[in-house]
Amino acid sequence: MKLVNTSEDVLKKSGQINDHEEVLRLYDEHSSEVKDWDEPEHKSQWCPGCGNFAILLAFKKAMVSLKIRPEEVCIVSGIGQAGKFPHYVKCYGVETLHGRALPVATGVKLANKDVNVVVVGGDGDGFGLGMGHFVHSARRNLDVTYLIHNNEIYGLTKGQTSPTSPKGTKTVSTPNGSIETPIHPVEQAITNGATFVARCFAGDMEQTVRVMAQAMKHKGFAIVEMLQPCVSYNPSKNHQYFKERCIRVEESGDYNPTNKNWALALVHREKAGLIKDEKIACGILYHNDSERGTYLDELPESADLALVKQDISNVDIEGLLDKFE
Amino acid sequence: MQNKISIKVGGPAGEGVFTVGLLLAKYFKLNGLEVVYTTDYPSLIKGGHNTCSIRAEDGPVYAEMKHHDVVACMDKLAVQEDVSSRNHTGIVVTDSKLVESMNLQDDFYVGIPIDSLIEDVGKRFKNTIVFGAIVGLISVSEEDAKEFISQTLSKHFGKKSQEIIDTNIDVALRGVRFVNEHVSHKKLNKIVKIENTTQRVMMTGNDAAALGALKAGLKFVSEYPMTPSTSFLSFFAAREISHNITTKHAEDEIAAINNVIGAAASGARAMTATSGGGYALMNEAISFAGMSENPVVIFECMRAGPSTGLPTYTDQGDLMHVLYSGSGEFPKVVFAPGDLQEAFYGGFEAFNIADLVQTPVVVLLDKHISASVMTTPRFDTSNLVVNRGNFQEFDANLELENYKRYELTQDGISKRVVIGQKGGCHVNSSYEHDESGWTSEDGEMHKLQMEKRHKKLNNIDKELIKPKILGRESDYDITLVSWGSNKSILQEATKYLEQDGIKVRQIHFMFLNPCDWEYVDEILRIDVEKNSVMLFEGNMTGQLHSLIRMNTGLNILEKKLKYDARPFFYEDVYRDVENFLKKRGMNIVGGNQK
Ligand SMILES: Cc1ncc(C[n+]2csc(CCOP(=O)(O)OP(=O)(O)O)c2C)c(N)n1
Ligand code: SF4
Ligand SMILES: [Mg+2]
Repeated sequence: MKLVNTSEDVLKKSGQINDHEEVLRLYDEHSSEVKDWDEPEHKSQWCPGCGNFAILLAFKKAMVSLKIRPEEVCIVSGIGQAGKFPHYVKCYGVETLHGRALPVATGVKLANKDVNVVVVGGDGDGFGLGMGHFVHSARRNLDVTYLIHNNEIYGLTKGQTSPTSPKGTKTVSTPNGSIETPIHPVEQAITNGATFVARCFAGDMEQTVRVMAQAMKHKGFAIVEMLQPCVSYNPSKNHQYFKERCIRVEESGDYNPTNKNWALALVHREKAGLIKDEKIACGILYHNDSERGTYLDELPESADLALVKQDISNVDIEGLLDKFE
Repeated sequence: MQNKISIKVGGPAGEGVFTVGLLLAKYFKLNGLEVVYTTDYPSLIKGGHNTCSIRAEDGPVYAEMKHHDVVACMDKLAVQEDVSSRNHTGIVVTDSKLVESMNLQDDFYVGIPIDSLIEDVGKRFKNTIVFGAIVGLISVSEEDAKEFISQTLSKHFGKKSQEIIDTNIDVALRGVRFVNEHVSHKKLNKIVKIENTTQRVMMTGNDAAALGALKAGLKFVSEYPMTPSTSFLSFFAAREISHNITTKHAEDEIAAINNVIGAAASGARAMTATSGGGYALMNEAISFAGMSENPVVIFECMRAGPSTGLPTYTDQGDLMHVLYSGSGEFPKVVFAPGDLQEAFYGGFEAFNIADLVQTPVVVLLDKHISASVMTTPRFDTSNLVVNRGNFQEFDANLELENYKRYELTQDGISKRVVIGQKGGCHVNSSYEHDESGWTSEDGEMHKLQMEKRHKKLNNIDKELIKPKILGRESDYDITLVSWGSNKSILQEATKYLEQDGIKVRQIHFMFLNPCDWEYVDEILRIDVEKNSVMLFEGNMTGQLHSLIRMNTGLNILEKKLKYDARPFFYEDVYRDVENFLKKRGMNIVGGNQK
């Protein structure tokens, strides 16, 4: 069963399509190809070899696998290299401010619940200026998907230390090595209450597409940490680095993603440097659909019809005015 | 004029000072009078000194008075602080315990044995007894008092049980009876019910603006509480279900405005409300809305700054801040309603204007208009038309072709779509962009897009952006200039100046941007050159003064700037005008002013 919002979902719900065959036919017509998501006229501004290219391709493939149409998706991004994402995908996009993608996405989704909202931003964007919004979005459990491109560096501003850079990182902003301990994105996501938390390296295209699609289908706030090589400013963590270390966590023996404690135990081992051979667990690390409802489930005002689709031409306030008489 | 009264109530925070005020306001309204009810309170929940003033007359009243016919002092501090605000025939109502302990000998004191009158029902009826005593002093008869007290309390406690209402009525009447029996010698104007045929409502400026927004089809509100804007949040939160609006108490003001931008980008009518500090946090996002052409509406309710300032006190210090907020140059609409009518119709129109010109619209209010309760004719909504401008409503059967969000058009306005519309995909962007929304750093395109954005403001109704001339248009002795809520206070002063033979022309700047500066020059130049213009502003540096000078070169010499965080009193305005004209050799008879 597909869980994303498509216009067919809406039609079905409204009872306009009853015939099962008809639904299947429409569903098929509805599907897209990767090229339907391309923006060929928008020349990429990323460095050749940047990890963002693979993420972009994975994203388009995930959209195709979900059988949704470009106009049914809105990518809301922050500012940074990752923030340029919406320009390279044919769908709706809002390129917001540095660190403010989540609150804008909240507004987009609350006003039009029928849109599939994806948030894209960098590690600086999400965990620097955007940290407060991150915490509140996780506890809000709005039905949006957040792809956080973690290259452990400020790419767009040419290589300063980011909140996820390991301690001791030497860059132009910390020439003697950074002093602060880094933020662990997965830990932040889980402890703040996100109901779907994953980590992917797009070098494993098959897994990344699958996990992204699942994140989109998840009802609630889904966070995917995208391990993203920045070949220009963080060259030691290049494709080779991740290829050698990333493993599919779902193939490990004790895999138990519906158990928060299992996921947190993994986080603690990672933080303590106890992982053998520096392997990096990729895949869905925590996923609980039944933990709690989404924010929109609690809003009767848009339960039947998205706010943007409601008629506002003649709102009646006379009864209210009576009360002020 | 039959009815004319002004009452002040003072007492400790948390002891029902404002309940007495509101009950009196409702009492006067039921008697057909026009009412202004204002509050003055520090930023404390319990323990501070609160006062409120209730003024009522047969005809329109716009502002509170400085001196009062009745001053009710609910504790010792109130006696110390507020007795001086009685007028020369005014009386002071207080607890007879205080009359004794403070040795208050003047015969203007009326002592009420509060404790013994409410012994059986308890201390929480203190405000009801004070209300009853005041009504006793100003009502023509006990029957009359009884009738209106019953109506007032039934209305006030509408949702509570009949028992609570009945006890309150009973207690209030004890107050009436006590003053009738013991203080009949005190002379006071009596309130006589008049037939007021216009349908009227009584509310605050924030209520009026919020009602306008609701009528305009507001669908999404996100706000972070900050006095004096907070009542917007609770107003809409209470109407989420009845009026299908989503109200979000955001994590901070940055989130609030960005929530609103997202909802507006989606296609919904959306707003936030805040005060100066919160607005400062919104700056970056406001220029984002300007760049991305998202119609957002922001109600900025000024309080005295800088910084945290005086949270519960009024001020007009944010005009320049709001006008020039945001990085870079982009169009922004800023207007400041002067009374409840303008707050309501402005609250409605803000959304039409935002949709028309697709840019931020800031409605500037201040604590005085935001939180004062006034009567005003019931708003006529029959002619209000929601106009969404160049906007494609969602249509599942439509596929747009060659859609360009930022198309360069003659009037600068390009079509908006609902996110989700087939054929409408584009990036709504904070970066400079080409017509499609794709990032562009081309100098020529930047110029074209800058011009496109700026010329959008030319589409706003030319009449709307002219300052309003009130009262006389010609044959006047003096011109009084103000913006925002001072409109009402100057109107009040004008009423008395005119009674004393001083001919007044009043100019109210509602629109600060855009504003028809050529017209301003036309109506002011001769008078400024004759030095017969006075400007009144609630700030220290004369921000409207600077704005007028910047845009017209006119330097209004006589400026009255009030920055003690309190509203102007019209009595002071009257005196200022009188003194100014006397200095200029005018012979003023005077006397009517009160
Ligand atoms: C308010 C604000 N502060 C600073 C900047 C400058 N800035 C743009 S992107 C960026 C950091 C980008 O780092 P990250 O979010 O990790 O994205 P990346 O480029 O690495 O994908 C900064 C500091 C800005 N655009 N806005
Ligand atoms: S600087 Fe790094 S993150 Fe930015 S485009 Fe180049 S490789 Fe990618
Ligand atoms: Mg980064």
